[in-house]
Amino acid sequence: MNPQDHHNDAVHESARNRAEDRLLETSLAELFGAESAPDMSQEILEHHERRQSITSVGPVSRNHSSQGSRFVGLMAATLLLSLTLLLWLRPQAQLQAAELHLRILRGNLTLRSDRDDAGRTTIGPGTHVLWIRTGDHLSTGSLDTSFEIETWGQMQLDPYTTLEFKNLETLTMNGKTITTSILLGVLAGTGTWYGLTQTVVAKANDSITVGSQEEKEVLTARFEKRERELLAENRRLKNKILELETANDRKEILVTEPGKDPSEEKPVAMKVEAPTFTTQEYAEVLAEVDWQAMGDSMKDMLPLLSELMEEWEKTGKPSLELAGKIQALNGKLLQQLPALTKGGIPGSGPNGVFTHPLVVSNQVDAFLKAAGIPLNKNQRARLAALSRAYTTEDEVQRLTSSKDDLSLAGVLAETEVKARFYEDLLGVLSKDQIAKLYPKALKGLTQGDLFSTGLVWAQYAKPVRASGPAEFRKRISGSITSSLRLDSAQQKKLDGVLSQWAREFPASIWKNKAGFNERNQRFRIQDVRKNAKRQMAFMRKLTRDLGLTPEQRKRLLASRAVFMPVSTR
Amino acid sequence: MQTSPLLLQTGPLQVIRTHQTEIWRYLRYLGAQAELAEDLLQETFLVWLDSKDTDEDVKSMTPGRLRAWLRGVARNLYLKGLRKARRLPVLDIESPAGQAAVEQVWLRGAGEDGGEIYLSALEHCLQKLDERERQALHARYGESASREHIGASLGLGDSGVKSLLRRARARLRYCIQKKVGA
Repeated sequence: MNPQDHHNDAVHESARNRAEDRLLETSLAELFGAESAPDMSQEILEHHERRQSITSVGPVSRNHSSQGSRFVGLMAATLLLSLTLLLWLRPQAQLQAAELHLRILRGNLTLRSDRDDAGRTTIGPGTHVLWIRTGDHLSTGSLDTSFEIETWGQMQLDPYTTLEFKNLETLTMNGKTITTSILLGVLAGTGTWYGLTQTVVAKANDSITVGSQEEKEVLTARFEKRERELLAENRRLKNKILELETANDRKEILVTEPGKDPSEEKPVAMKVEAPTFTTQEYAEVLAEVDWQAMGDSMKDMLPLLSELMEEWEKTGKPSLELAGKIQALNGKLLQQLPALTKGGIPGSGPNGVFTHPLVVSNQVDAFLKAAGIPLNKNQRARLAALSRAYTTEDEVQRLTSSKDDLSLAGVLAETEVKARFYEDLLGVLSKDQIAKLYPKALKGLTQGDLFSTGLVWAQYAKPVRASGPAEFRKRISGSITSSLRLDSAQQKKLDGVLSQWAREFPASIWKNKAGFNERNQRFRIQDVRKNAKRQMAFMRKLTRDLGLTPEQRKRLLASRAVFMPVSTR
Repeated sequence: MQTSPLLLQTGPLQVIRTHQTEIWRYLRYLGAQAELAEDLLQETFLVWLDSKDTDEDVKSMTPGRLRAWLRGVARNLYLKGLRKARRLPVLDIESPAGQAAVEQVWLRGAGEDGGEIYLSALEHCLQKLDERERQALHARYGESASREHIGASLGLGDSGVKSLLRRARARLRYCIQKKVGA
């Protein structure tokens, strides 16, 4: 061995020893509760969004197919409207680039950029989405040209007119960039701007401001009024639909005699005859999903999950081979998710989407087909009615929930509706079908029971390892202090509220070491639900008693983590 | 290891939730104080969020590769901060041999599941120690007590506490090694 090799070995050995000690020391600190890994996910995403609002990247020009007037489109899109309004209320950032919606009514326009990657793009009548930067030029040829800019108004340009984008003000939020003001310089020719509150004729060396403060105010007032009207109308209609559908569907479900195996029943006359479960609103989205792939994956995944857990409990170590197979199947399920989320199926987190009544109904149908015990016609009809009724109930629950309440309250309300749906689903299935869908080892567990609200809760149940109530309190205090960035006075108040809340947990949970499932982050769904309810009261008390800053309050309201005690005794 | 985080590995929020604990533990392991580890954790995921849609490599990463990539980013950010402050790292992560050793220990001990199995093994091994050893470790790492303070409560001198802690750590390392191969 040469001296250099010898030296490297010595360095390696000494570094290894120090690293092993360090790993042990930091793990001991974590285990004894001196510190714990923070949940910074929300904070990171918010920070990223804020950063996005002052940097922007995007393609030079993207043409979209014509979708009619942006005026009309925007008036109807309440969600986008509320976002826009929110943005106007926030301080505006100056940007170098912005997405602009243009509808050319007559003539054509050439967009020219001096950037290396851009060049010239000529666009004709229709709606276009352009990515504009300051310094870009817009010019007409030999034709009179008129076009609309977003929601602001119309521009009429004489032949051979050239405009320059001198300044753009935009804001980005939730990945959507909204243009709030544009300063256009006329380099040659003549342009006439017909805005909401002004008409401006500008010749060479003049400039036009699109999106003045006055115009924003006019639009804000108009949109606010329309938004209120639409929301009220929505709420009224949804309630009416719910009333009618629930009454009708529940009546149909009761057609079956109690106690009789549903799979043996003869089909009865039903309103719904469709073989798959859908609604007019989600028909397109659901048609994009490969339900057979989903059914096959879930059918193969369940026995593997049971096997993994049993073996793990027996040997104390998870089988990597089984875990790998499960991950591969999980991957196939994930492939179906984008279609569902992009299509607007609602739910808390990806698993919330995955547990939507319509999605679950189709999963169950596909799963049972793959397992060789398909739903019969009668069962399908009853499930169709159930999925419709609960889809409406879920929507109403969302519409009526308060935006100013805890985010966790929304999750709880959603899971309550879904829990009732799963309960009613059992009434539709035969014993064999239930046994296939609900293996004993997984039933009622957050990360095992695939046909339950456990999937939603699995995203938010946060294990807190502690040897007793004092350590439990200490860990949670540390976690909340860190995530809300409390000062010492607030922390003192927190500890008071925390002690009161921690006393609500039964002392028995600390008597013995937590069971295998809890130690491995699988909790009983009913325990998570119970703790979520307790925790909401605790969190509401924090909003009242801690004197939180608006930012701290926002963070607390956004938190969905449910603290789950795991005894290490 | 989480057996069936069904659909959890999707969307930025879920990816961050899946990996943040491991990255925070990794940063603490490298030597970052808890508060600095939080800041660097945030910076690490901001780098990922900035790259995930534009960098082809990052876009196509498997979860395993993503974890290694995130650790690499976290380590570089930590090193950058140390260099700026003209401070030396706690672990030797600057020389290639040292960096290899540090990575090896992490991967063997905590790499497979972000440290969960290691923590479970540690919990189990703690039960095999003497009561005095456990008390001393708890005071030292749970309450950051000084050796003097620990000595006073256990009736030991400074060197006695030092060797008690050293012995306890050695026993734990041996026991954990047997359980998880670290």
